[in-house]
Amino acid sequence: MQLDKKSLDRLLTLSDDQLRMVLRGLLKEYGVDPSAVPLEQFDMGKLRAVLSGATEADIQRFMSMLSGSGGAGGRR
Amino acid sequence: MSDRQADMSAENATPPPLGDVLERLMDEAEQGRTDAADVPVKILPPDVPASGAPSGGILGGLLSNPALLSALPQLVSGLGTLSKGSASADAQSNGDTEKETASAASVSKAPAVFSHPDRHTALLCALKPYLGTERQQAAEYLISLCRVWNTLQGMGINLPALLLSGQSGVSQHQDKEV
Repeated sequence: MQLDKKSLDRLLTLSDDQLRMVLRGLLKEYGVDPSAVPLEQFDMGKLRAVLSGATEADIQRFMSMLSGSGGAGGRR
Repeated sequence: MSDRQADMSAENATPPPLGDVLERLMDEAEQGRTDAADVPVKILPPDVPASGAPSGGILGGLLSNPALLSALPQLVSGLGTLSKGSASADAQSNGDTEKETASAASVSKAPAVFSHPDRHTALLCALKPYLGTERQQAAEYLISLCRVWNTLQGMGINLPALLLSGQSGVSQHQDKEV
């Protein structure tokens, strides 16, 4: 399943703690130690503002950059 | 299958698509699971054994410091220092050292803005074979961080700008503790 606007919208419905939990899980999934990233100090409001403004084109661009740099995700 | 074989097979397995991972994590978050025990944890870079560094190894201390986190673009652009030091310490002293020093110097002068996001990753990948074990681990960790940084920058997310200044930022969805 690809990342899409619907997933982002669902992400925006989560509370700050739930959002941090998701971010923590993503970091762990891709090999970054979550305890090394100060998620508690991130302004989730600003992150939400950015994510809410993301369009499908932005998401596709993000996925192509992610897969182009060797990261995981996207269509297989 | 033994645990070691399972770990090795998990390590070599293709990571699941980001959409699937995100859906699963959101499901778990909504169900209120605080510890996603079922998430297959990838093998993280091993901690530096002798120095007693905190979990997260060499970069754990860096990333736990918000001031350093905000200076991360400058740190990454200053990879010339890392490559310069590593080249002199680990590489054979030959004519290539001067070339590496010159290229490292040019990289250190590069602007902090990621106008060419693959350059830093490419430099690290090229230098890795000439680095010692610890520095190779650091380089691998930096490469993975560069990927995350570049993709977030591509989305228009400026990580240092997300850091709260004096804890004054209030999110509309902030949970209120009773």
